Amino acid sequence: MTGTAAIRTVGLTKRYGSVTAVDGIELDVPPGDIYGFLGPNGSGKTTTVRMLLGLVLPTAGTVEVLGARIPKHARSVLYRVGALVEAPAAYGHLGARANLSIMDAAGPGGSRRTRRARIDQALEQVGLAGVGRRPVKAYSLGMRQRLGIAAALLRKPDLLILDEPTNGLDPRGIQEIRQLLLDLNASAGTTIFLSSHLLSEVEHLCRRIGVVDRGRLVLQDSLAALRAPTGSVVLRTPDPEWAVGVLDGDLRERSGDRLVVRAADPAELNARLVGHGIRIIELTEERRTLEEVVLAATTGSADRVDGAVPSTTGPRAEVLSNDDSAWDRPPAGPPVPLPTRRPTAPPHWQATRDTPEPASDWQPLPTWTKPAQGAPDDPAPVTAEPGAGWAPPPTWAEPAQPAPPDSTPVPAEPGLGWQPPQNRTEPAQPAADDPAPIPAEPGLGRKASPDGAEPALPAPGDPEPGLVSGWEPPPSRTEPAQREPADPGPTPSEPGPSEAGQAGSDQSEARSEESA
Amino acid sequence: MIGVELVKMLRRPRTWVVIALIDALPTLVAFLLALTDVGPRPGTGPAFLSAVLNNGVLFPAAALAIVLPLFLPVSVAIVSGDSIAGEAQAGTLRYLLARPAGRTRLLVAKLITVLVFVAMAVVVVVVTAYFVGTSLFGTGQLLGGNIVSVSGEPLTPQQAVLRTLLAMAYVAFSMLGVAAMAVFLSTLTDSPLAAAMGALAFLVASSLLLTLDAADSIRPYLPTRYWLAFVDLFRQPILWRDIVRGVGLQALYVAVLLGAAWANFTTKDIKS
Repeated sequence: MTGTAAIRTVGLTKRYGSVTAVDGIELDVPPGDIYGFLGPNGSGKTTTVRMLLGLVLPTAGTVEVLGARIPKHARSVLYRVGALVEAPAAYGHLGARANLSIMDAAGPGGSRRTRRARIDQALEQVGLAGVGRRPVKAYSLGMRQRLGIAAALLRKPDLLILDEPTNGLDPRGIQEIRQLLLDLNASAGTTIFLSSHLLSEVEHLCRRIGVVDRGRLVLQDSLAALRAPTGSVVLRTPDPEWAVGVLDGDLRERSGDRLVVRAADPAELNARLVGHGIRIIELTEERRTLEEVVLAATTGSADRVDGAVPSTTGPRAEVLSNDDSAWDRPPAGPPVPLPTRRPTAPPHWQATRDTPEPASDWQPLPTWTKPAQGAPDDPAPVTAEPGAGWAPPPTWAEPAQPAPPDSTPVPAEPGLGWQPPQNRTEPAQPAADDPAPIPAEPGLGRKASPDGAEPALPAPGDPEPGLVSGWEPPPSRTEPAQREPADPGPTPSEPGPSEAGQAGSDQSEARSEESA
Repeated sequence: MIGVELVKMLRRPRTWVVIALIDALPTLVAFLLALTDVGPRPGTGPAFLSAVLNNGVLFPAAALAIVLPLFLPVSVAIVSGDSIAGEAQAGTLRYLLARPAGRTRLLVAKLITVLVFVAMAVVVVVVTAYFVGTSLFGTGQLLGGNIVSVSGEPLTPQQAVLRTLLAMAYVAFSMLGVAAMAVFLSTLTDSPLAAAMGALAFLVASSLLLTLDAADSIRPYLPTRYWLAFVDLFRQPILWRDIVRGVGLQALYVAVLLGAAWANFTTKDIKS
C-alpha cells in the first residue's frame, strides 16, 4: 500500500485499434504477497503481464514494478524480477546450463562470478540438477517448464511474475513447484504474482486475488475475505427427517441426507442436533468456493469466449451461458462435500440478509395446512418412520394436528420451499403460500451480484412468473432459484432420500412443466 | 550483450554450415579450372577468372566475385532475417527483453553479430581461395611475381595483398544494405523466413532493374549498382569513383533501414 508496492498500476489501458484489451486496471500487490491474477482467456491477463514486463507498451496509465516506472526505468529494476510469460522458451540446440548462462549474461544484475553457482542452485530448486548437457529440444514439456522456472529464479528475484507456472507438469511436479514457491515466499519474502486460470492452483497458493474480466479488474481482495464462512453450515446426517424437524426454519436447503442450515455457530448447531439424538456424519461451515467467486465476478458473454482457444475457457463459457448444466456440475473447490450435485452458492448471499424471514413467514399456519392436506396422498415410506421420533420439538405440535395419521416431517418441508408431488399439477398454490426463501433467490440471481443485494423482487405472492422470467437471461445465478421449489419434489415421491443424483433430471422435468 | 549474441551465433551449427557452403563454390571452380585448364576468355565470365590461370594470387579476388552476386547476400539475408524474428519465433525474445536486455542494445548486438558473420564469411572465402589458388595455379613466376592488373599494368605482390584486403572490406560493406533490409523486415515479422525472403526479393528486384534500360534514371540508387565496383581496386591506378559512390549508397541504405528497424522495434508490442 505504500510507495514500494511490488506491483502497482494506475488506469492501465491497452487498446489494439478499436479493441480494448485492458481497460483501466488498477493492480496493487504489496511486497511479500502471493497474488493470484485470474480471468478467462482473452480477458487481458497476458496483455497485463506483458505490460508489467515492458513487453507491451500501455496506451494509457502507468505501471510501477518494485517502485520503478515501466518501461521507462525497466533496466534498473527488471533484473530483480523473475518472469515466466506464457510458455517457457529456450534455445533448442543448447543444454539447460548454456541456456541459463546466456539468459543471465543478456542483462544487468547477473554477476559472472556467481553465475555457475546460481545456475546449479536454480536447476537444483526445480529438480533439473542432473540434466547434464542434453540439448533442450530433447526435453519433455514438463522439463521445459522446469527450466523456465529455473530461469526465473536465477537471480533470486524479489518479485516473480509467473504465467501458468505449472503448465505441463504432472501432479507431483505441480505439488513440488507449489511448495517451492511457498518456500521462496516464506524464506526470502519473494513477492509472487501468479497469473492463471487454474482456480485450484490459485486457491492453494494465493493470499490475494484479482479477477479480470473483459479487460477490467472486477475484483481484488484477499482470498480469506472472499471465502469467509457464509453463515451457513452444511451437514450430512443419516437422520435427515429428524434433523429437519429440529432445525425448523433454519434449514435452507435439503437434498437427501445433506442439509444446508443457517447457523452462526457450527459448534452450537452440532450440540443442538446431537442433543436431540441426531447422528451427524459430516458438518462443515459453508464457504464459497473460489470458482463461485470468480464466476460471480466474471460475465464472459458466450460470443466473446467462444472465439477463444482451448483450455478452461470452453467449459467456462458453457457455465456462464447455460444455466442448468452449469450448476449441476460439481464445484471444483474442496469445501463442499461432493456427493450431492446441489448448487451451494446462491443461498449464501441470501443467508446473510434474509435470515429472519423464514421464521416470520413461517408462522401463519394456514399456509401449510394446505400441504398437509395433500399429505395423505403422499407416499408413506418417507414420512412414516420419522413420525415417531419426531414428536418432541414443541413448535411442531400444532402443525402436526391437521394431518393426523400422516407423519409430521412432510409439513416441515413445505416451509422450505417444498412442494408435495401433486403440486406439479397445480404448482401455484403452495408456492405462492410459501415463505420468502424461494422468491428471494431469483431476485438475487437476476442481479448476479455477489453480495446478494436486492431483495426487492422476491414478491412472495408469485414466485412462479419470477422464476420463469428469471431464468432466460444467463446471469449464472438464476437457476438455483428455480431449482429450489422444484427440487424437493423428488425427495418425497421417491422414497430414498439420498438419491441426490437424480435431482438434476427431476428438476429439469419439473421446470419444463412449470414453464409450460 | 554483444558477447552473448556472438556466442549464440558461433555456437550455432547453421553458421558454420552456411560459411562452408559459401566457401565450397569458389573452391569447386578452382579445381575445375585447374583440371581442365580452360579459363573463360578475357572479358567474359566472373571477373579475374581468365587471369587466375596465370597467377593464383588473384584467385581470392576471383572468389569474391564468384560469391558476391548470390551466395553471400543469401547467407547474409538468412542470418540477419533470423536476428529478431528468430528469437520471436522461438519465444526467447520476450525473455531477453524482460531480462531486461534493452531493445536498442539487443538490436545493436544483433547488427554487430551480422557484421561479424559477414566478415567471417569473407575472410574464410579469401583465405581459402588464396591457398587453393596459389597451390593450384602457382604465384605467377613467369611474370616475375608481378600480377597483371585489370587495366594491364603490373601490380607488385604487396599491392595485390593490400588491394585484396580493400576488396574484402568493400564486399563486406556492400552486404550491409542487405543486412539492414533483412533486420528491418525481421522486426516487422515473427517469421525469420519471411524476413530473409523479403530481403532477397529486394535484391532480386534491384538486380533486375539494373538490366532494364527504362530504369536508367533510378539505376544509381539501386543497392546492387556498385557491388562489382571492387574490381576497380585492381586497376592501376585505382579507379575510386564507383567505389566511393558504392560506399555512400550503402551507408545511406543502412542508415535509413536501420533507423526504421530501430524505430519499429523500440515501439513494438512484443506479442510473440
